[in-house]
Amino acid sequence: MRKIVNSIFVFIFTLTMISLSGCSDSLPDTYSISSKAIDMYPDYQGVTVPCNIAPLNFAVLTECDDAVAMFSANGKKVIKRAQEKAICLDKEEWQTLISNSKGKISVALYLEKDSKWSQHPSFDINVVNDSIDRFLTYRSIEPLYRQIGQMGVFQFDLENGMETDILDAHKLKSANKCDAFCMNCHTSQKANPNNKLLHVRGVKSGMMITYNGKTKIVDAKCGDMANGAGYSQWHPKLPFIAFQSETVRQHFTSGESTKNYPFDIVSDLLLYDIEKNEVSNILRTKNKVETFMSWSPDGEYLYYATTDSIYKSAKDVDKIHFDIARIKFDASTKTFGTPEIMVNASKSDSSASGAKISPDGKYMLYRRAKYGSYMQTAKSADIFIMDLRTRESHALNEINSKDADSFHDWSSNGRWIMVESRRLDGNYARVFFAYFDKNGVAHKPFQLPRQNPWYDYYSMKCYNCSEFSTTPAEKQSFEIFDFMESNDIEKASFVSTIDSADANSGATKVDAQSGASQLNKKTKK
Amino acid sequence: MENKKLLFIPLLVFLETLGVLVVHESDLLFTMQNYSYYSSDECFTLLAVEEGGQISLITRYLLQFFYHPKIAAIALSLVLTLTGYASAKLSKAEGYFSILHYIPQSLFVAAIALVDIQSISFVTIPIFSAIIAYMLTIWSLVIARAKSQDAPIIGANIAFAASILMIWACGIYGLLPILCFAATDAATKQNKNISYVLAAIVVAIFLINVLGNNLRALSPMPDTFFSLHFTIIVLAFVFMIVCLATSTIIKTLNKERIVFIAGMILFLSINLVAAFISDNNFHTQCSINRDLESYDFKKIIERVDELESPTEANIAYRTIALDQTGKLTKNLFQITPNRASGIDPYRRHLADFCLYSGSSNDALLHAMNNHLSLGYSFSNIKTMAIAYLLNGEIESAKKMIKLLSQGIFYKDWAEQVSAAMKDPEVFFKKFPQYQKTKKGSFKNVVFINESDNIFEMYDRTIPQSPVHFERLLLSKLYLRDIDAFSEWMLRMASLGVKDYQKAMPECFQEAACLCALKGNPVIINNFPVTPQIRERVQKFAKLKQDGNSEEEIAKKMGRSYLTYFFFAPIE
Repeated sequence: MRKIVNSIFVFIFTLTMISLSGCSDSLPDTYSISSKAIDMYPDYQGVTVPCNIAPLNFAVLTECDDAVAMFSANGKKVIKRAQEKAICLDKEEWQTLISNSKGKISVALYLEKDSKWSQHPSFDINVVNDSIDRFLTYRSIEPLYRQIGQMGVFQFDLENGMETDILDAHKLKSANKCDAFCMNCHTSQKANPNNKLLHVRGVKSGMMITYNGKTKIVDAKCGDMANGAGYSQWHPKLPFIAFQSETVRQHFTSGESTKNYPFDIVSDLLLYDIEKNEVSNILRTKNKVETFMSWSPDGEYLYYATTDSIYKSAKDVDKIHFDIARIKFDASTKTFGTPEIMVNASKSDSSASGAKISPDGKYMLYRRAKYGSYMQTAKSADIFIMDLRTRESHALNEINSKDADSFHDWSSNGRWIMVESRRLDGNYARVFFAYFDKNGVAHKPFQLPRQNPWYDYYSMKCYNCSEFSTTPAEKQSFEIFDFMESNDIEKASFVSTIDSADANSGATKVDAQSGASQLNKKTKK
Repeated sequence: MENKKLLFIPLLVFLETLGVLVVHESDLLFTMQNYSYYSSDECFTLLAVEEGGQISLITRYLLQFFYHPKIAAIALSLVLTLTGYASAKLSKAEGYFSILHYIPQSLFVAAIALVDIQSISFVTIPIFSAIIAYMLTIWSLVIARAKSQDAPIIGANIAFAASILMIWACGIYGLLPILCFAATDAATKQNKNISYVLAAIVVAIFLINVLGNNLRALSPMPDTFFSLHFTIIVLAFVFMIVCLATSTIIKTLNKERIVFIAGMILFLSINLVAAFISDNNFHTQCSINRDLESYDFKKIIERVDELESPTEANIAYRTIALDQTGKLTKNLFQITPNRASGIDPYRRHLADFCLYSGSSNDALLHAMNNHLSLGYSFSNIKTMAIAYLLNGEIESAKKMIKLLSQGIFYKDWAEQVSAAMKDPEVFFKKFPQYQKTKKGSFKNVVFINESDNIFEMYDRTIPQSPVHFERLLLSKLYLRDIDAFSEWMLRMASLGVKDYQKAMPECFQEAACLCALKGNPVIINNFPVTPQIRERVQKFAKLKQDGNSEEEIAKKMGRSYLTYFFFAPIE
């Protein structure tokens, strides 16, 4: 027995030494030249990337036994052999290439098949000095679902390619913390990105708000609101959060390529004042749906999607067309003006939603599809841009694909556009980033660079509600869970315009034409 | 165990375990692997690893071998028996006393046998993780004891190292090697101080990990605290520790034969009771899963028809099989399709039912829901691969096929599909069962999933083909809406979709008679209803009028749509 034990120790030791010894990568000595371009995942050929991006690791999909890549940047070369058919650079190697690049990194690829090497056409990666926001937060969900479960909100560090959880239902479940959790919308305030918001539904339900270093959970459902808070957006500078209060449903199809249509039966816009813990109306309408709002960078306008085609039956889903409107906000009185239509998509039997204004205020990104407002599953969904100076719009064809291109965001310097797209297979949304240059031209987008490129290839989850952030999330799953368990929910108060006829009901007084609210000071808990 | 005659004990134990696992539970073992998934890729390993240890990942890998359940069960029985043997040897439980060391094995087998439809997705990995932890514990102790004979400190340190490694790999199970080592030292009163100190260090490290939130779970059994399976596993480990620690004490009892007989009875009864109290419907479902893997639809029908009271899942697979073998209209009502027993709260069969019923998007939705509720599984990924293929979504199908090819035993199927999918003709020739599915697929139907009743799904379609019409008519019969049935029959005839002028399925003929009895003779006047069916309806009506019960009528006339129409429960 002693001999067996000793032999095991020797064997383990030898294996360890062999694995630690490693070997340096080199190009094959002999190879033929092939004109066949390599099939790779993600496809980084000809993309434009920021100077602070994590290594663009990729997997080789072309059938081969082995692969070697040579990265060249202005004379500096890095040779990397594939492991599990993935070419992965470490951060230092990538940084060296970036700093030497002078705008371009060339990649030459060599594949081995049946002990024969061949060199395939090289490609370039364009590098620009405009940096991208360091963090991207997103929700990870299945392409189709009726149940929550292994849902999570995550944060991806675009500089080092690492993902960390913000609130991961799987992690909490496997630690016997809770069964299921629903969550969405992790957003930061533009002027003070340490102010953050996360919606949770589970152990406790509400908006988890971190403001000026303090965190609280708020139940914004108050007054005569039928639903709680949904999709939300921080005012860029002030302690206000605009949110929608909606009843969302999904339609499923039996054989169509668009498998489901999420839609709001009702949706209104409301404003939460963090410091006063008050909710007031922005737009409360009976015959309209208002959704997917966002602020202009100066905070003077709130943009949103609106329709008066109210859902009646499943057959009519494709007749719901949204327009994009904006409404002026007077911060001193917390009142809103008269809506102004910006994109009249319904006129042409199409739908527009999700307006986002560039940080310089010159452009408006939005998505457009045949119908609906969510559009993440709609094959026809594309990203459009409007020059706010001329009010002229066009599809951003450099970014768009044949499949659904939907949720989008601007980086804080306005040079990068993020878009969620199902272009790779029609079902599993992945995140892409496109350079938007000073001339207003978009460049070929590149896919979010994972340390392990196979991760997104195999993952059966979709990226959803992705948003840039310049600062990391303050808390992670266990801390958030513990916080929720140990803290009470703050119930917001409702501040509403109550006219004399409706004094008891708390009904909101709105402008009959526009639906805009007019505020006075009566508080209703 | 110096007496070679006593080798019959491990031999008996091996054969009994083998009998239970191979004969009685092999379809269950197959289903356990079918309902789990293994991939070495990071996005799955992150999900597979539960807080509390990497062991669930190792378990998932090993579970794949139950694709060939009989071979894998032989291997499992052998390794378990050898581990029991090693355990007995370790604590010098000589002679008949050694039987006690096989009790944990018996309990583990019982935990497997007691798995049911509600627990299968939650307890499979924990049960096999526990078995692996048990084996690791015993074999690390064997190594530690081999060393400790002449170098007690080295032996204790080996047990210590095994514990530390196992804390990382197996969570709370990591405490076992050093605690068992210390327990046996205490029993033999040898060198106990060093093992006590090391055991205390391991416990401290474990607690620091737990308190420091690095190791959140105290057990790799989330969802199953206080469950029957958890209790059995705890009992197995308690037995293991007690046996290791008390062998020397038991030996002094001098009641070797009594201990043996008691131990043997305990061993056999645990296994056999567990094996035979298990749910017959669930075991049939497990067998159906294997039949479906080999597309043996005839066998599925036979199995369900033998059941006294099938579950909704059993009926769903029977319906699929009837459809595939062209017997749907003929045989659907030969059992009462809505009198399902046994509740599967997750209704995982819906994915397959929708796939084979031509609603591939529904199949995808239910497969994804299954993933969310029950975790990833080979069976669901396979369903999704076919659903995407039938939808013409080649890139998504490729993704699923790649995921399947990561599994050891689904690689072949994945390669076959991958080679055939380039040409639909080749694909449908290779997999003819999906041709029928494709022909019956729904198009352009928008609905809200309010009902998941499998027969009401047939009612959703805007009929476009004879397959759709026939399903729609069946759904009307299922809903006992014979007026709607009559209406659709006429519409179908006017459109010339399907010619029932020469012969009509018996259930349709019976429904036509029922319509006539209700004062609507249009079907009976325009479609062929045989004299035998007319007679049959009259005879049925007479028997019913005479106050015969459902069972009495079924005994005299057999089951048909009439029995369903008059006796099936109304939902």
